Amino acid sequence: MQILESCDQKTTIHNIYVYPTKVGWIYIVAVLVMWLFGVNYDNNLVLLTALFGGSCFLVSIFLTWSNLRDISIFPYVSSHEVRANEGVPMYFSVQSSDKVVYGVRIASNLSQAMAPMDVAHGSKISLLCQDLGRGIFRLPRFKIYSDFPLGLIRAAFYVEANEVVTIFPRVIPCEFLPQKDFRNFNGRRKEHATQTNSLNARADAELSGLRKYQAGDSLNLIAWKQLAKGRGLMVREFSADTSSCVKLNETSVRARHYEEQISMLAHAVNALSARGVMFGLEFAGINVLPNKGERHRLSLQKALALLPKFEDVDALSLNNEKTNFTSTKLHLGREFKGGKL
Amino acid sequence: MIVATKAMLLMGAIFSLAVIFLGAHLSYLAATVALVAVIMRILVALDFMAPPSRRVVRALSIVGLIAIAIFKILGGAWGDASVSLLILGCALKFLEINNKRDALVQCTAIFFLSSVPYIFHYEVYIALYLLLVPLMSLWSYLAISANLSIKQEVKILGLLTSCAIPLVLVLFIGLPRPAGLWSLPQSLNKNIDVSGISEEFSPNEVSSLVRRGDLAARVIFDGNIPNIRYFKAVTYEFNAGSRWYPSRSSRDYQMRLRYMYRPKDEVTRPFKKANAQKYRVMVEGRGSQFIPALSESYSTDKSIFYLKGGTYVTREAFSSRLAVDFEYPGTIGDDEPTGAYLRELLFVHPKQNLRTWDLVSKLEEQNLTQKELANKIFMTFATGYKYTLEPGSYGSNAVDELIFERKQGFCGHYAHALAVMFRMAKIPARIAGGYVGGKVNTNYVILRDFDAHAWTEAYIDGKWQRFDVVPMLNSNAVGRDIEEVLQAPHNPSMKFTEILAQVREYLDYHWSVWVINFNEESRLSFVKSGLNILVLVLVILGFCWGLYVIGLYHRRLNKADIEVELTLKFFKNMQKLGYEIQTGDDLWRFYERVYVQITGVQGVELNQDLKCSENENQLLLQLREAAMIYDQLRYAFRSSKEQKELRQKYIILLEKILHLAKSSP
Repeated sequence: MQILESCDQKTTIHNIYVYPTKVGWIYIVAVLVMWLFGVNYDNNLVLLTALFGGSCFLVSIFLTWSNLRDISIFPYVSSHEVRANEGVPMYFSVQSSDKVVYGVRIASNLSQAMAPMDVAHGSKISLLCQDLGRGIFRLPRFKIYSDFPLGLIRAAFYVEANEVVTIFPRVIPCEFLPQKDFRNFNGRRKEHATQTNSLNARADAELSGLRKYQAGDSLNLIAWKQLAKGRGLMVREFSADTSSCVKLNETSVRARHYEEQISMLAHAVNALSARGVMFGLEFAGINVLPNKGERHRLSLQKALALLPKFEDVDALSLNNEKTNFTSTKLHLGREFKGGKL
Repeated sequence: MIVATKAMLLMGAIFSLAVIFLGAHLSYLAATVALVAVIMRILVALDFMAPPSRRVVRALSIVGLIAIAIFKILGGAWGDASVSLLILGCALKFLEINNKRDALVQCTAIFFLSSVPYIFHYEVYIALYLLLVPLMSLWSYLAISANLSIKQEVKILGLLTSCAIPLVLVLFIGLPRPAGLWSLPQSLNKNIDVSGISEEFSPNEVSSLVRRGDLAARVIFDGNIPNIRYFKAVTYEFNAGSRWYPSRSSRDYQMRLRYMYRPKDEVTRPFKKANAQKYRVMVEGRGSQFIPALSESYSTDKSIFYLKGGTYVTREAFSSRLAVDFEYPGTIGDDEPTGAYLRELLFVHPKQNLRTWDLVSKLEEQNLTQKELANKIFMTFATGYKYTLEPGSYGSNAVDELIFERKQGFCGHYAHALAVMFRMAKIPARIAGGYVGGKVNTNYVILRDFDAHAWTEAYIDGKWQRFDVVPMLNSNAVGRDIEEVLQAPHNPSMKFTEILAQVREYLDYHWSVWVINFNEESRLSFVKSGLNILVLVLVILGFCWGLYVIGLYHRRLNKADIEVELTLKFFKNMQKLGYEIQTGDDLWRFYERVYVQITGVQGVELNQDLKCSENENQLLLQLREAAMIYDQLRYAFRSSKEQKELRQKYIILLEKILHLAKSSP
């Protein structure tokens, strides 16, 4: 759990706001009307009733304020990954020295109304904040309030967190086809690297062996004979493959639109990371060299999360990027021709 | 959301009480529909029936509205119809309570509705309603808004009321009351005059009034109570045979007061005199406009108006208890009757009571002064006449019959006869109706219906003088209990009822003085007294003390369990000894941290061979035990005795741990 240290605060006389609720206003009007009638018609019984109502209202102001004073609220955010459209779970720990706080509710513009709770020292209140999709999520201002005891007066105080949470893209499980990545850790192409397009595996590359099929392997590499022989789905491995690194790019997944592409790539990142494969990412301006491990995975997820949203991307610039990719392929093609293959 | 059943029951009870007290002022059918709706909602809350469908609700609404319409068509007052509509609306809203907010709004509506019976009831028994119903309303709010046990709710109610009541008293006494912003509408009662003192006087009709013991008024004197007390309420100047009415000018004036009031039309009131004695009249509201007061009384009360006959009236008939302050005697300005008024005061039917005409003519031939003539006429009744409440009915020559034939009657007959005889002697005369005597109770006088009396007033030697025949006939007949007058035998078993009556009178009197009729004058006179200011200050201090008690009690009410308190204290002490305490720590987390700190081993393993000193080992073991005991105290169900023992053990353990922590490096 990540404690949001910047926004823990104790309630004092200066930061508790006390005001009538909607029903409280109706009550005030009713009492005033009764008082007016009592005075005008010289009816002391009505007047007494109105004064009693008004007095109880005034006393309840003090009770309502007293209910919320001298407590501290510590907000927490879950340290688990938060994915888009799943909501951001928030937790609030209540610290009150020796009392029970009645009818506490927490609200923000990004959360649904919650039922009132009675909380004591050490209680935790959870709240799900609605997120606005992947990316940077700025925590909203939380209003912690109570209408105890009569529901006519509300005491509230505000907790403002200047913290942000990165919301990772939603993961869509899918088949993906990573490309071979011949860049080394310095980003340089390896010497005499024989570019092998996994989609166009050459038969004259030396077969180094067979291994079991793993999701994402090219269909062209499947050893159909082995399958026919009943040995299961196997994949040919070639010794000419001088690179064991792969990369994910926009062609690695088949998506209908941009966001789906990101979500599928997010799944691919998790899957490859789980397998312990060295992989990189080249997508929409992200150019991450192959690596492996949890940190690498998180950095890629964060990078995908921080990609501009579709509505922010200029359609023209997106087309230009596609054009650039295409011309790069052509360039490689010419080199390819010049190469040993 | 399910609204608390408690709240529904309370609101239903308040509503039912209000309907019962409004009783005769409601359309019975509409009230029945309303009660049915409320009962249905309560049954739904108790899960005895399913919520009614929209059709049922609509049907109830239509039936209720038709009932109110019929009630109005059949002669119901607008006010009563409005109240019936309010009741019906409230009841139907009951059926539509779906959430907490609806319930709170309905609670507010019922709180408002619960004050409507105060328009019609002001006797001392309403005090119970006044105490109970606002408390129940408050409880309803609490039951809706907070989910507490009954014990906790009672505590909070106690807190609220202990602070609110002194504040109410302070505001009631201290807050100035502005004058009315708009005039009273037509009385919600029909203008039923049940006081007996009315705009029409007939000697044959007064006797029924004189037999009743209903309370008519209380008169509180600021000082000595005068021995002779004639409280005049109305004067009858216009004579139509055996019937008398107030003068035309008075009746016109009263009409104008009701419909076209203009300040310049007001008749000049008596002036204030030095050393005038103050007194207050608290009149029961029985559909009358007349205020009984001593002759030549002076009042600055703007809600009452002075008539030529020397009486005071309100603009409209009043149905609730009314208090008016007077000073007496005042100085009357020029009250000599002239013009049409004088003609009224002298008019007597020339063809009736012929024998009396002869009698008066013979007296006039004696060439007496007006005063002597009046005395002569008055002394006609000195001997040979009797006072009785059952003289039988008199005809159109009632005076002749009284003087020459029956020679018996009650106050009305003699007042009528005397007034007629004065007019025959060309002395302006009128009949005055009101109350005489009354029962003295400490510093105030109780006037009941059997104290009603009629006497004659004549304008002689430049002023109005009172002539009352009845004391000559029977000194006991005026202002005494009806049983004494009729010489009824005293029943010993009535002693208990007499005591009850006295207690009731005592309560009712103080209720009238301090609650019902506590007006702006009362408030000012209360506040002017030093002793009262002291009482007020004490009440304010009481309120402040109440607030302080709330603060203390609230902490106690909200106090967390002892184990939590002890643990927090323990953490504070450990922190002072240098141990790290983090936010949100409990004993288990603290134990794990201390374990890592001491042993350097991540992950607590029970059977591990710990490389630490004996002290530290003990510290860890005891800390672990304390954490286990804490969990048992908090979450395991135990009897209170076992809980107490375990708590003791826990306290001892914490002390040992602190001791070990101090001794460890």
